[in-house]
Amino acid sequence: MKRIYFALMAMIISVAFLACDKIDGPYKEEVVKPETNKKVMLEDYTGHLCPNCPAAHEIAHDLKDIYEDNLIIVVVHAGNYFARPEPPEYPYDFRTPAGEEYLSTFVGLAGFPIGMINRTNEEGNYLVDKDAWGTKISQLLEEDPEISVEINSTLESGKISGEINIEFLSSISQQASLQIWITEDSIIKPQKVPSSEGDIIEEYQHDHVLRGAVNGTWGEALSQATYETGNTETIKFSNFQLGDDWVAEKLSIVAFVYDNDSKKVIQVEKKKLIE
Amino acid sequence: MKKHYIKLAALLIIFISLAQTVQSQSKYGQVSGSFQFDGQMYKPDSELGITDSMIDGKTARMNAFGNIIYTLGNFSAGVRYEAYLPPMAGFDSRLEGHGFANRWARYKTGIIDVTVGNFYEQFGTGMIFRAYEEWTLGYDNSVDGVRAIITPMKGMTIKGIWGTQRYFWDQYEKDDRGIIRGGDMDFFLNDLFGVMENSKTKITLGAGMISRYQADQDPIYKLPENVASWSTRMNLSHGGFFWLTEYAHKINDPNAINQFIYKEGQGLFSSVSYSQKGLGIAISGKWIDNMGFKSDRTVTGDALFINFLPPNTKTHSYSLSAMYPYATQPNGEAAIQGTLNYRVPKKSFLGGKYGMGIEVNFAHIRSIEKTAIDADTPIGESGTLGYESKFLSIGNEVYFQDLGFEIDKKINKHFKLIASADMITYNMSVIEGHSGEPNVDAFVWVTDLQYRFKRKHSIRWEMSQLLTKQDQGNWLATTLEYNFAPTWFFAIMDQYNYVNSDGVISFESEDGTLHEKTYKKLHYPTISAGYTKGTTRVLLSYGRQREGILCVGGVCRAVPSSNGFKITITSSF
Repeated sequence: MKRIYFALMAMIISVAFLACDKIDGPYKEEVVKPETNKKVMLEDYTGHLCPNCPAAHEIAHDLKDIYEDNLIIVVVHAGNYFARPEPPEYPYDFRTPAGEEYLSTFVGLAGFPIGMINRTNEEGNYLVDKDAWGTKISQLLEEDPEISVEINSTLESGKISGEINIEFLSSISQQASLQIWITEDSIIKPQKVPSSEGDIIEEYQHDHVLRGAVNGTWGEALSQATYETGNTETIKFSNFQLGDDWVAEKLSIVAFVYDNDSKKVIQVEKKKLIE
Repeated sequence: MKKHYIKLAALLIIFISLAQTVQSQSKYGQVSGSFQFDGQMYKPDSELGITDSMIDGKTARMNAFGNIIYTLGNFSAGVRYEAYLPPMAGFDSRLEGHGFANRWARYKTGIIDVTVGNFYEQFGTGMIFRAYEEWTLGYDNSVDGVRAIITPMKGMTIKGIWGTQRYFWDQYEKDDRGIIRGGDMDFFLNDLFGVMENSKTKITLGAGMISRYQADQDPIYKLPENVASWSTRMNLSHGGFFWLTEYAHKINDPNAINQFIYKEGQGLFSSVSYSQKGLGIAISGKWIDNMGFKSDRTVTGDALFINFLPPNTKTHSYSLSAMYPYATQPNGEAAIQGTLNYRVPKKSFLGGKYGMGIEVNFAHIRSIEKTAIDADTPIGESGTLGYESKFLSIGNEVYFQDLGFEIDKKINKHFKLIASADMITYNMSVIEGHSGEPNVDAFVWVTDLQYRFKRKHSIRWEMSQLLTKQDQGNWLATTLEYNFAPTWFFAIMDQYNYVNSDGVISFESEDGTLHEKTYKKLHYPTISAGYTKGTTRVLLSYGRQREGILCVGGVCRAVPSSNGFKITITSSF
């Protein structure tokens, strides 16, 4: 009989270790946006045939509401599986040559939706599940901004020209490159959604869509490998031809500086083409 | 040259006798283990749409493991080495790599049995906790930590576990996944209470609890850092009658599976069976509501599950019958399954000289009924309580149904026949996530005839057909196999997707749009051969494999189509 009591006591004590947290509504956090010039880029890989992807876009929008200008979202439509045109319901082709290359380099055969935050990686794995985006973004926003990026651009007869001014707030000692992208908001086209939500949304608002790489798929290397605090560098670009159906008022330029070795984004900036 | 042969022979003799000494002499302990190597070569196949760029230079892929266990009295220890260089097509690419996936040590003494390192364990049916591995799925959620099993008296077993789960090759780092801890107790009343000692009715009662700790660093939601799940169960048996029931409950656990809703989860599983000579009946029912539970709330896919939700369907072994397997839906399902086994007696009209076995199987799985919590919140909306559901409510959507009959009859000294027919309804939209696709209604028949013409020599001929107007249309399959028991077998098989007369599958979606798709009529021929000697088995095959889904226990893996040569070697020692 003594043994039963001993056993039961052990059980009760161990149960005490197993705490449980019951949360009462409201369930959303009250997050104060950090005061910083550090900006973080969320690269959201998607396709109009991916029914689980709109849920990821909603998460991205929730995060944008919290972090505002400190979070820059770029949505990359890529891959034969989810982004290929499928007439008659999904005839549009959102894909870009640059996006296809980023897909094969970083994403491979991973299922959608999937994303990257500032292209950081842990032992070669760049990918972050949509529900972990918020955690990762809040962690990266605690880092100091090492550089500041300023974008200036002009549009003339369907071609974009401009310059990116980079100012170094701390020293950089590894070769980095500058990547310039064009994104477009509010492209109204069909999107597949889960059966429980009706299978398809005919007029879905596709935002932050990657339209192309202005200075090559992998950008261009900065002229020096090392920079001191206070140094500046200006990189110009000219005569980038807009696509036939792009709407100039909805375009933005996204520019980021990244480390050549790790591919990690050091700082990113975004500016609308036409203010 | 002769000198070398003598040296080699001498070395071999020494090695063999040493090995035998280690195995037979318990003073130094015993080494045992198992090994498996699965390798595949891939080649492009234009008809299947496999191009060189898809193969991407990785024309040879392999999955291999080696388990080595050392036992000495009450002590045992082992390692499990795995290599996926690179993993075979259809397996998660995060498996790529090699190393010692498991290492553990175990000591049993008196009333306590302790394991440190990696272990597999289950509480009850597994609805709150099951750590297991399934090689054919590439699934392994072993717990790395400590486990203690205490048997303070006969009839009482208490288990306690604490650790983190395996996530491919990721070593645990602070906050990269949850920590799980739990306990379970089992009481076999017939041993505990003298009055029941000689009773024909045997009763076991059990209860368990498990809790996950994962930090909340999410900026959007207030997340519970400690999520607990508990269950109680009862087993009752009396003669040929057996009854098992388990109820499980999980507190709020917003995660990627339920889209971050704060609703609690519940599950009930009950199964009753009766068997006597020549007759067996089994009926089981299951009701699940929001019971997806993982070590990391943000992870999707088949990894890091803490629990296991039993499927309630028959696992088919014939290839066409197994074309549409069911995957358990952790967010909610109501299932019922019944199986009847009857052996028609010998010398009766149907039974003939040797008797005949009949099996009838029925499985039906539907959604559960979910109602909105208020007029403003759609069902399943993230960041809310999600929905309301009455316990044991049944919804309108059919997920899966399988009605099947099978007979097996030994016709005479040489011939044995197995014939089966199944009517399957498969909700492709819910099970595979292909929204918009209609349910597949399929009829499959199989005849499997074995002809033994000499002692140890037999030939098996299998024919089957799958008829459906959905998905990829109709299939015809045949296998011819020659067996020299128990050592050799040699087989040729073909699966032919003849679709229908014109190769076009069409369906009208709910809004009236007509969808049409043309499918190529393709053959998938394969030749295979195998050799078995003792505990070692080698299996070779060459040919085209159709794309499909492999499900074990309700957990599924997509198998892509492929063309090439495959080898499997397994052994145990």
